[in-house]
Formats: sequence, C-alpha cells, structure tokens
Amino acid sequence: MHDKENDIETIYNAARQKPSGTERSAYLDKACCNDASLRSRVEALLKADEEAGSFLESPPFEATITIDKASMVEQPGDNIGPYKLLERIGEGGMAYVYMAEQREPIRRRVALKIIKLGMDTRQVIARFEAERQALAMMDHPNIAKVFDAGTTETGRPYFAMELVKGVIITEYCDNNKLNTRERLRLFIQVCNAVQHAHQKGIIHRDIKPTNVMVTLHDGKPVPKVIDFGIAKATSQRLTEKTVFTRYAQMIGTPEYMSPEQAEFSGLDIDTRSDIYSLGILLYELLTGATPFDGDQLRAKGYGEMQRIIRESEPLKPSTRLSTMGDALTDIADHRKTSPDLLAKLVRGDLDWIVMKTLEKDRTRRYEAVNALTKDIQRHLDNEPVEAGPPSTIYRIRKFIEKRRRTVAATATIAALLIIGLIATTTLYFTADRARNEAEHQAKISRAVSDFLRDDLLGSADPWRGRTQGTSVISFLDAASRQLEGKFADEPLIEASIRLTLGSTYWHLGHYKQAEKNLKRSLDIHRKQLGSEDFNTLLCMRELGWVNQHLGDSRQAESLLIEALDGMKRTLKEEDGTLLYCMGWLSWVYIDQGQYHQAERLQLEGLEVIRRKLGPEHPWIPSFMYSLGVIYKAQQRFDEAEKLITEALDISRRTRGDQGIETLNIISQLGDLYSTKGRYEDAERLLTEALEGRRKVYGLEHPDTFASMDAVGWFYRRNGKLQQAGQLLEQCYNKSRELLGSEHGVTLDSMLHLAVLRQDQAQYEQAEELMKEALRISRAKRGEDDNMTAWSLNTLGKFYEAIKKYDQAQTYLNEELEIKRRTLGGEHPDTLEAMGNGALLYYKRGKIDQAEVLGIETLQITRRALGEDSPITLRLMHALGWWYLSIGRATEAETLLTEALEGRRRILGENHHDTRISALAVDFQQGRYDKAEPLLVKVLEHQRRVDGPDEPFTLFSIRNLALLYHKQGRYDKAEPLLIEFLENSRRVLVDGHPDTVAVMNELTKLYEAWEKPLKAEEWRAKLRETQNR
Amino acid sequence: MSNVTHILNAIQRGDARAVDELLPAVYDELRRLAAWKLSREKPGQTLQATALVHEAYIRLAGEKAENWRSRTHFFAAAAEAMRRILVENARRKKRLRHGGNLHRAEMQDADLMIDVPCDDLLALDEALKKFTAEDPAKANLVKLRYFAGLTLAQAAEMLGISRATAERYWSYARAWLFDQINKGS
Repeated sequence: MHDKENDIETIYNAARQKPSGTERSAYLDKACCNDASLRSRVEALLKADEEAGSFLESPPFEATITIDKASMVEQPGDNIGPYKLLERIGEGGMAYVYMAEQREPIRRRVALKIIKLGMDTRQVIARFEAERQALAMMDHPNIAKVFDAGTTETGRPYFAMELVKGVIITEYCDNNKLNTRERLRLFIQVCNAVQHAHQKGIIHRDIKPTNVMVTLHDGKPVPKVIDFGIAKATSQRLTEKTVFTRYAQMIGTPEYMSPEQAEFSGLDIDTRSDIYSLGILLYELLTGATPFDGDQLRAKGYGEMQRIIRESEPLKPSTRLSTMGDALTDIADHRKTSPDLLAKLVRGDLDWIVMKTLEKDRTRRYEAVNALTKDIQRHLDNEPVEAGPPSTIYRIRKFIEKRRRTVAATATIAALLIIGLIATTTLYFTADRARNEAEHQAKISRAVSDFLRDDLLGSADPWRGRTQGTSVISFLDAASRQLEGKFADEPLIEASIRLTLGSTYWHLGHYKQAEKNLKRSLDIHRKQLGSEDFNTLLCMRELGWVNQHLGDSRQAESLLIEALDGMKRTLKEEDGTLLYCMGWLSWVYIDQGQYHQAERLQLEGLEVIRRKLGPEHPWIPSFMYSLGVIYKAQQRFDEAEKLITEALDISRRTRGDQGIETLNIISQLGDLYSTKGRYEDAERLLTEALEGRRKVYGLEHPDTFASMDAVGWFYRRNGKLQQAGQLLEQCYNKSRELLGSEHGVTLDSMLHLAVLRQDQAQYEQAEELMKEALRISRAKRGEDDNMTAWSLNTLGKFYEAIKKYDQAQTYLNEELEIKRRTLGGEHPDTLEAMGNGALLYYKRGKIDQAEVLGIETLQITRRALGEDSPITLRLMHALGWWYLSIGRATEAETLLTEALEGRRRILGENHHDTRISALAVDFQQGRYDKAEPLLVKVLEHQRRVDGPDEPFTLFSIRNLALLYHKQGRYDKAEPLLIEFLENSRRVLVDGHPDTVAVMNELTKLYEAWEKPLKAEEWRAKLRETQNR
Repeated sequence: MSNVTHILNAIQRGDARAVDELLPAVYDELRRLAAWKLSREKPGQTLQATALVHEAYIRLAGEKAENWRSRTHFFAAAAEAMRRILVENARRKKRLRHGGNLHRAEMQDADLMIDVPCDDLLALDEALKKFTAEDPAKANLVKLRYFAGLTLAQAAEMLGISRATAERYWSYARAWLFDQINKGS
C-alpha cells in the first residue's frame, strides 16, 4: 500500500510536468501499465489539482477572530451587589470604571471598578480580603479609600472605591500651568500619601498619573492616590503559567514599572518599587515625558521591553529637556517659564534626586519615601540635597555602559576606560570588600574587557584613526606600569586587567607587549583559578593567538591545543569561545603548512555550527572561508573558489556587504582571482574591499592599509604602475606613521613599493627600501621572523633580476635557512624556497645543480604533501615540461605521464590542469596537431599571468616553437625562437646553455627552411656567444 | 519568563520531553493573547489568525528568535494549536446553530468568535486527519502554511526540505485534500 502511494505520488508529479494533455495521457499509459486503479487515482488527483483553484493557497489563512464583547459588559442600570451602575466613567486596559450608587449600609456614590479579563476571581477576592484590614487602616487625605470587593454575576471581580471627581495629576498641572515649585509641592503630597500607606504595610505597585487624581478643596488642589490594594489583589502569583496575565496588565503601563517588576524574577516587590514609580511620575511632572516612551516600549516586544527597563539608563531630566527641540517651548510654557530657565531649574539637584529614585539597583534608591520627600523639601529650601552628583566609580561605570551602545570613541576614551577600570577595581578593594567579591569583580572586569575588545576595538576601531595613534600606546604603557605591584593582594584583578591590556595591545598590532601582559595574566589565572577555569582558557587562547602573530607558531599551537582541550571539557561544543579557538588553531596549522590538520578543524567547526546553531548562522561563512583559504594554499583553487564564493554569498546576506568578515572574504576572493588571472573580477573585489574598509574602519586602520596594499600590488601586477605607485606609497607612509615601521603591514607595503620601483627601473631606490626593510625587521622583529625571511626573498629576487647572481644566491640561501629552521624542511614555504633556489641555479646556467635541487624538491614535496597534492603534481609537470623543452624525452615522459594520471584522478578529465597535462603528453608522444591549439592558449595565459620572461613561459615558448618546427611550419616557429632569445636575455645569464641551444635550433630552422643567409647570420652570433 | 519561553529553552538545551509540553502551552498562550488583544480593542475588532501566531512567537521567543531549533518546534506547535482552536470554534458555532447550549461556557479568557465557514473548516480538518495518517510530512507542510501562515519557503526550511520538494509536496497535498473533501461531500 505504501509503495503504491509512492507510485501515485511519483507518477502524479511527473504527469503534472507534462505540457499537454496528449503527452500527459501518453505518459500515463506508459507509467501505469495496465493498473487501472492506479491510473484512476492519479487522474483523480490531477483533476483535483486543476480544479482546486485557490484552495488553501495564499493569502494563507485569513480567519479573523473577534470577541463577543457585548455579552461581557455590564450596562448602566445593572445592579452589582449593593451597587447600582449609573454611568461609565472610565476604561483602562484592565478594567471598566463606573460611577455607582450604594444603597446599604449607607447611601453614597462610589467608583466601581470591574476587572475585564477573566482572572481567577476567588483568588483576587482572597488576596483583597487578606489586605482588607490593612487597607481599612489607611486614613489619609490624599488616599482614596477602597471600600469593598466582590464578584459580579458574570464572575468577574470588582472593587468599590471612594469616588474621586478629579483630573489626572499631569493634566491638572499642565492645564493650570503650574510652575516647577508648585508641581513639587503637589508631588510632595503624593509622596506623603504613599509614605502613609507604606507605614501601614501597603505597597501600591501601580503608581502612575492615571492613579493620581487632583481634586479641588476650597480652591486648593488636593491630589488623591487611587487604587491602593488593587494591583496586589489582581496580580496573580508569578508562576510561569500565569505570567501572561501579568504581562497583559503590565504592558498597559510599562513606562512606570520598576526594573524588578519587569523582571518577574520572583523578587519580592517592596516599597522601593513605589519609589521608582514615584520617580517616573516626578520625571514626567518636570519634563512632560517619561524616561522611556511607552509606545516604543510596547512596540518592541516583550523581551526588548524588559531589557530596556532593566538596563537602559534614562537621560537626566535636564538632558531630556534639551533633546526636545520645538516641543520644549510648549513644555516650558506649561510651567510658566522659558526653555532656558526650565533646564537651569532642573539641572543639578532635581536631576540627582530623580536619578536616585530611578536607580536600577533598588539598594541605591532612597531607602524610604520620606527620604525622597525630605530631599525635595531641601531643594525647595535651597539646602544641599542628599542625592549628589554620582561618584567617580559610578561615573566610570555609567560611562562604560553608555559607550557600549555608541561606537564613537577616541583614544582618550580608551585610555580613560583602562585607567578607570584600574581605579574602579582598586577602590572596590580598598573599600574592604569581602574576599569572595573577587570573582564577582573579575566578572565585571571581563565585561569591561569584552567591551574594549569586541565593541570598541573589534568592530570599529575608529579611535585608532586619530593621528595621535601613538598616544593610545603611551596610555596603555602608562596603564601597564600602574599595574606593577598594585594588586599584590588581589592578583585576579591584575590578571583581568592584564587580559584587557593584552588584547588591546594585540588589536593595535603591538604583539610583544600583548604577549607580556597576557603571559602574566595567564600565570595568575592558572595559579588562582586552575587550568580549567574559563578565564584561564580564554587567556591561553589569546596568548596563543598573539604568539602566532609573533611568528612563534609552535608555542601558539601548544597553547591553543591546551586551551581547546580545556574548553572541550568545560564548555558546550557550540560555544563561540571554543569555536573561535578551533578556528585560530586551524590558522596556525595553515601557517605551519599542516593543511590536513587545519582542514579537519574547520570541518569539525562547521559541522558543530550547522548542527547546533543552524545552517545560516553567521559563523558559518567564517569557517567556510577559512576552509577555502586552506584549499587555496594547497593550490586546490577550484574548491577554494567554490567555498569562498559561497561564504561570501552567505556573509553578504547575513552580515551585509560591509560586515568585517564579508570584507575579509572579499579580499581573499579578489586575491584568488588575481592568482587565477581573472583580473577584472579581482580588481572589482579588491577595490570593493578597500572601499568597504575605508568606510567601516576609516582611512587609517591596519586592515584598510592591507587592502590598499593589495590593490596597489594588484595594479602593479596588471601593469598600472603609476596607480600602483600612488597607492603603495600612501599606504607605506601612513602605516609607518601610525603603526610603526616594524609593523607587518608597513613592511609589506615597503617591500611591495620596492618591487614596484624595481619594475620602474629605479634600482637604487628599490635596493635601499629593501635593505631598510631587512634591517628593521632583523633589528625589531628578529633574525627568524617571517618578515625577515620575506625581506631576504625580495632582495634575492631583486639581485636575481638585475643578474647579480652571487648576491641573489646569498640572500635566497639565507631565506631558505630561516625557513628550514623555523618552519622545518617539509613546510610548503620551505619547499617553495627550494624551488626558487633551483630556478636561480637554472637562470645562472648551472643546469646540473638546478636539476638536482629540482628533483630533491619534488621528492620532499611528494613525501610531505603526498602524491596527489596539486603542488606535487604541478612541480612534476613543470619539471617534465622543462625536460621536454631541452629534448630529454625519457625523463619528460615519466614525469608528464605521472602528472597527467594524478590530475585525472584528483581533478577529473575536464579540469584545466588535467588538459594541460594531457596536452604535454600528446606533444611528448608526437600528437602535434592535437596539442597545438591548446598549447597556444596556455602560452597566451602564461605570458599574461606569469609574465613573458618567467622560466616556465620560456619553456612553453620553446616547446611551441619545437612543435611548429616538427610540423615544418617554420614561419610560425621562427618568431617564437626569437621571442625566447629576447625574453631570456632579461632573465638568463649570458651564454646560458638554453640560450645557446635555442640559437642552435634557430640556425637549423633556417637551414631546413632554405634560408642560408639567415642561417649563416645566426651561426655567427652563436659562435660569438660561445666565445664570450 | 513565560511557560512557552521556558519550554523553548528546554528544547534548546536538548530536553526532548519538553516538546510534548509545548503544544498545550502554545495553545494556551494563543488563546490568551487573542483574548487579551481583543479586550483592548473596540468591540467588533478583528485579528488575523496567522498574524496572531507570528505575534505570539515574537513576544514569547523574543530575544531568542534566531534560534532555529526552537523556532521549528514553536511553529509546528502553533500550527497545530491554531488548527485546534479554529476547529473547536467551528464545532461550537455549529452546536450553537443547531440549538446547542447558548449559555456561555466556562470560558476563562474570552469568547473567541472565529469567522470561517465552519463546514469547510471541519471538512478540511477531517480530510487532513486522514492525510496525516497517510503522509505526515506533507500534512505538516499544510498545517504550517495554512494554520501558522508560513510561506512555502519558510515552511520548507522548517521541515528541512528543499524548496522544490516543498512545491511538489504542496501540489500533491492540495490535490489530495481537495479530492478527499469533494469525495466526502
């Protein structure tokens, strides 16, 4: 049956795709064979599909829900208990309020509040009864009495209260243009009422303007606080099941709600919640607005609303006034004053008083309402108030919290933060805090460091853009010095500050200082908290990463492995700290050339994120792109391109075109395209990355410099020397100024600029820059630093290019030694240096040495990277291609065939590289016609991408000439051989064996072509060369 | 924290038992949310069922809205809950029409009046029940689209199937249900 159902579905789907009725029925004939029931079922479905029209289709479901309200609402004239409803006088979110007449035991008019929502009426009444006695004891002219509670016939609770005919306090004040002092006096009366209730043990819980009415007694305004006891009676116990009801009520007036009320933490609401709400009321009386806009709070949804009430710092009333623009005139007018005077009146005392009532932490508020009243009275009497300007510690904390949300900051701010952090923690600890506060405090520091690291430094770094960039460093240095010995008794505080400092130094590219601080921090953390503590592991990770930047990749590896192991034991597998540790370790492996290890980690990370965090998680592109970089390093360009392109796609979608990670990915893809010779795409992407970084980071950030350098280098490669010069020069100068001359980015741009000068034949300047780079790197970064090696390499290549081979050999040998020493003999970079050595021998005409070194390189590569590595295969092919060009057919055949087989296996038959290998084999085996068209194309690509005088381009030129010669197409062969001689003059030593051989070939060609004169001319040239 | 949020967190932590608790909680929340929203409106105001589901999600899952796993569970539960609410309502209306008990039932929150032709809805529900027994995956797709108001693409993502597969499922499910309902009538 099930199978049949499957058949039906398959056939149905296929049949639906058929364009016409005839085709459809032909298909059904075939598919259903003779199964009539199957066929009729499918046909029924197809018919249904055609007739279904908009059945179930979008707009998905437009059911509308209405509420049968009429039946729930009492009407005037109805009797409820002893009360007769007269008219409805109000409606709130939670209740209707009626004016009602009570007939017994006494005849009077009351306000009757009938709760709208279906609550558990019995509980409401029970809670009211529990407080009834206390409520009855309240006797205060500013409190409206609650007489009674009961149940309506429809089962809803109601409350009978003293009828207050008045106006909402805020409206009263505005309508009568009460000035600030008058408002304060009125407010003091409200406070007195609340204080009275508090003394009887009653908390209002819902103080807001609509619950404070002003009536006139003998022409004098008397505020009346209504609804005492009602909020509590109607608030159900805060079980999770009932929270919705609470929410429904609370959302009515969230702007007056204290953080602990918004929290639903089960924390008991106490008198200090009322103080908070009174503070909001005062705020509103003074400024005409609540600190948080109610509509906005409601619009933001539940979680965000809670967060704002809990965390967001309100503006001081005077500041709030200054943000009101045109509305301020009106507000001032309602207070019988001018905007300027109003702000002045509120600034200072009143600001502090209000802010003290609005503290998130209720222990920091006034301890009782009369303390608040007294302070207001003091203000009115021009005495100093108790609430003062906030303390330094307090200000720093506030400052940090505020800055958290804004991106703009300056060097001074960063320094202030760090010094402030030290001050904060010092003060905390001299203030005789209990020992176990240390942990708590470490948490605070961590929050601050996170902030510094992630928010301030990690995302925007705009403060490094200041030209006084160095002043940041001097502040940091000062902070570092301050730390010495200061925390002998509180090592954890030192540790956490050092972690902050270390990370900051790291972000600024000052790795040595970063290392020093992080190392110290790690030691302390380890000793105090053990090796598995989160902070210890975090420190370890940061230190490892800094070591990587210092070029000590072994140390980096061991730290990151230890950190990762610890994190795997103690954190969830999808924890970001852990995943990033994994990612970083993988980058260390990339650097060490251990691509398989690197790949394994990235794949593991990707798997965890996909499984645990979902397929579109923003970390995914980071890992995909790293994986792409690994493939790129392995010269698995197609896989790399696929991954990086996909990562870019996701990243653009999830982080936007100008996300930091997006920009990193764009740069890498641009670089990859440049390697592949797709110059237009490369230029587009590299430029996009540069523009993006300029926008995001500003003009003076290491990543912006790196992008400038990349674009400059790209222009140089593409022959746009002048544009390249401008960019590289600008980049070098700025980077030297801001990051210092030994910074990697500075040295990179310095060396690139030098190579450009070399291209422009400004050899002296080139040489000078290169030697300067080498000197700086040696002195400041060390003998074994990779920048030192890269400087040596550039110098070696430079001398090689101007044919000063001895010097070239010295520098390149030294480079190779450093690589062997620091990376080991089997690292891809070491192997590349060996290959360069072999080429140098070749260019010098030392063919035997070149061959020996070339073969050794191939052997080690084969062993280290494996038989199937694209690098091994490329080397094999290159060596074979050279053998072919010099006519050593046996060696050529072995190597070329092996390379072809490998490429077929790994890359498949149709891959570009496979086809080049196949072409080489065809050629080697004499299938010239087949080989020719592709070889022409390959050569074209090499001339353009590798350069016309690169040895492998030369080999191809010579091979193509050879091919034409064998085909007897002398006119085609001739210009190629001449091209070889001309190009080779620039790179090969005079009298190079291959030059001589090609001259010889040219002579033979002319002979075969029956051009004796030409043959003779070249024979003479050949003799001349040999004699020299 | 609301009950639903609590349960979603448990699901997030990998507590499989929590999945069973989700449906009643979501059901409860949807009804309360509808009642509460309507209580704030003028009489006769209407709400869209699917908008209600989405609003409930945003309110309840709020900050955790990015979490894929709990989102999937939420919408699955919401679709089922909405189906139940609508069907119960249709049944009740039908009862009333046939002289059922006019006295308002002991509804705690509010009486929701849902304006869908109840015969159609009940017929669809019958058909859907049969279809669920036969092909639960496709039936889920229908519930997510029809009752929770997800787009085809969203529903496909929830079910972990490709867009193309979802389109095939949808076409088949629609034809199946349409055929079933017409046969039944």
